[in-house]
Amino acid sequence: MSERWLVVPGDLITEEKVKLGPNVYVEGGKVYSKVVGLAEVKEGVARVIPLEGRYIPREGDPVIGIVVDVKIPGYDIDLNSPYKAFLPNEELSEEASYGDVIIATVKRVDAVKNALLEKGNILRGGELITINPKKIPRVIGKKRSMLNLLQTLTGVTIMVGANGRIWLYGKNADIAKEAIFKIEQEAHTSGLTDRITKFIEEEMHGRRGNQA
Amino acid sequence: MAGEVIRPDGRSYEDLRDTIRIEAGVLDRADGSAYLEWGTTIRLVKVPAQEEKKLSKWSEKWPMVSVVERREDHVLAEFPKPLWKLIDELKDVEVVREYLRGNKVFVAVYGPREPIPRHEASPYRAILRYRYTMSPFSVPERKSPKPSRRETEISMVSRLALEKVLFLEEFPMTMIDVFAEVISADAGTRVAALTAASVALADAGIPMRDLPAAVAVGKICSDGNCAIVADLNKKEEDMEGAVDLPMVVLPRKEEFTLLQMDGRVSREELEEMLELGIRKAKEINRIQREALLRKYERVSGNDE
Amino acid sequence: MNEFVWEFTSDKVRKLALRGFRIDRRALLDYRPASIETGVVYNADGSALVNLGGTKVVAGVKFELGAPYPDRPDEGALLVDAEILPHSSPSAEPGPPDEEAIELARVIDRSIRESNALDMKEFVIREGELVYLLFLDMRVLDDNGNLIDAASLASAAALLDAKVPRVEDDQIVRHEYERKLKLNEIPIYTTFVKIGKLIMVDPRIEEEHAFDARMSIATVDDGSIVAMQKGGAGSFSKGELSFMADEAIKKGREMRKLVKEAVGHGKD
Repeated sequence: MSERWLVVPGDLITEEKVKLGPNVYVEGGKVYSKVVGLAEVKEGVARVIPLEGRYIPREGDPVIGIVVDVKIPGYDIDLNSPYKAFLPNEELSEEASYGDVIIATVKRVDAVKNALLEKGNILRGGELITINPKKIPRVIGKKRSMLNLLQTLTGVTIMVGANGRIWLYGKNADIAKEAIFKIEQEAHTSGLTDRITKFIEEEMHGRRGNQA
Repeated sequence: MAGEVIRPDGRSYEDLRDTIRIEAGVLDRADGSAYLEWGTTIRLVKVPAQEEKKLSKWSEKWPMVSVVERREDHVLAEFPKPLWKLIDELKDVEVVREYLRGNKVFVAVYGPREPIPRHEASPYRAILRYRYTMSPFSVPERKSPKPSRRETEISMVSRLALEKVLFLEEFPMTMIDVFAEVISADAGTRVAALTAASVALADAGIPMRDLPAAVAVGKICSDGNCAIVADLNKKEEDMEGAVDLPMVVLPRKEEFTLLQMDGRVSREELEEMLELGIRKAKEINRIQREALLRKYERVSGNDE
Repeated sequence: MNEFVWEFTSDKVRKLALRGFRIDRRALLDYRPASIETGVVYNADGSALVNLGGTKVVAGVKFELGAPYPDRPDEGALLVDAEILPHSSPSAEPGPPDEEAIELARVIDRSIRESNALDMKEFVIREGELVYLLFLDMRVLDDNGNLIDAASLASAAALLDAKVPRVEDDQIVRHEYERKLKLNEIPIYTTFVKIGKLIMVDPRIEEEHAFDARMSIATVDDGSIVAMQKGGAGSFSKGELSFMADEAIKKGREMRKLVKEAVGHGKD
């Protein structure tokens, strides 16, 4: 039975011999937290799930970016990260321009953390929001359960980037947006799924009522 | 804990000032932030003019009990929190207001972010910048907004105090900025700023080995008697022969990353001051921890 | 934030404006919630901290002594300064005040001077030799849009909070006050932005990156207009200006009331 608890930098996680997961460090045989987050020792791995921090590109991450420069071989993409990303022309089936919203995958990250992107697609219309990237896993949920819930209840198409950007398309996008901001605020609590379900149902009901 | 040296606000030697409050995540635009208040809560009271004799007697012993306004039939006087019990001994007393006499600091952290200028970036780690500034109205004599030599020195030693605590090597080719603005000053401003900076850095998600806690200890003397005290306020700093020792402590390892001293002490006194500092830094660290955890407790749902 | 990223948000702001809406669903003439706290700095002779929809500004008043301006030997001097701190946004850089900060200080200064809010002749110790210098310093801590109105509220509150210190032997006696600072007027700025054909009050930061033109109008209680400042490259028609002047008088009165309430906290 794994239990998670809130920690701050320097807090002791465990004195046992464990494998080191993300956001912890070892000193004098003891494992400590590097960040503010939820600590967990599960299946022999000690880790901390961070609650704050900017997005640092990682291989395999889906990301949503904005074209900020059009170059001859491809595009410079803003990921709301201190690190840059580049999408080569051949990774996009059509031509993009300044300000276009792109969803892509991080193919590779170099020694100084700049990202090379692949499999890009332009997202047209819709609405783009940015939340704390560390709360994205909660918006997706275990086995995409939260994301499916949001899409099913509101009918909105939602694309989520690991870099904290979320693209929404649909009539009830504003309700989905409010729900996502709520998840962002309460990501570290339990019983969230039920509260979000209740919130959306109430909002959607109110909306149908007003469309009489 | 009575002693031969009376502290101007009636505190015991080892007491930190009575009011230390930290709030994390107070600025919207910054990546991380903290607001800190560190000082003495003052009660402003109104009493009939006849009571001034009592006030004068107290002021002689505790200079922070003082008359601030005199009118024909009444006077207004300030009382620091440790001496509020004296107020009960006054006749026809009315408490007008409460306010903080102390340090107030806003710290903003931005980063990791793109380095400026680009050519100063390092492929091995993030560059740390620390900028300590004081508002012109924060001090008794209006200070010009231009950066002073003192602010430059404090910025530098503060940066050095934090550099090795942060895991800067995780963010090559970037910059991490710490901006500390003191809007109200009353001795120990660099220490207040650093204490808040630790919280702001953690709030920004910057990985750290510990939460560095800052405090100042020192020595004050009067009538030939001296005492080692914690957390000197402005009145104490200005006393003749006072020694001020600001420090930054890594609470877990009990190590110092900043240490400066103004004054003259013996070897034994230094030892005592360092030990007192570590004890007090741990108290500060508890307040820092609570500030960070409270940010999340604020939003907990009722079905936890 | 990168300019092109702002472009993206601005596009959304403009599209909504075409349909008559603001991105935060506010009414066109509604201010964001504002909180004002006075007496926040012990060493200041007057001070205030304002939070206008997330925009945070702290203002402080300090009295010093000095020589009067040679062409005004019978008056004290008012010196207004503003700094947009690097805390306030990712693009705010540390360093000397840039054009935005200088404009902010001068705009607030004009509203106080031109409204004759202060009688500077009250601040003479010895004519031609020694006068009070009244410093008003503003520090912007968080920029969520509309610095001018936030600074205006903070200055007004700090001035209303202020007391004049006693002078003895040509020196200021700190923390001993002889009287409250007397204000003849309380000038308050109301700022509008025009996006497309839509005019709205109290722009948030996203609206500030999307506007065509901006208008700040300072008014006093009797409905007089005491200062104006146009921002941005776009233009206003005479009709639009008349509309904004009328609204500024109304809004100015509302905000002035807020400031007065914040200052009235049982002081002697």
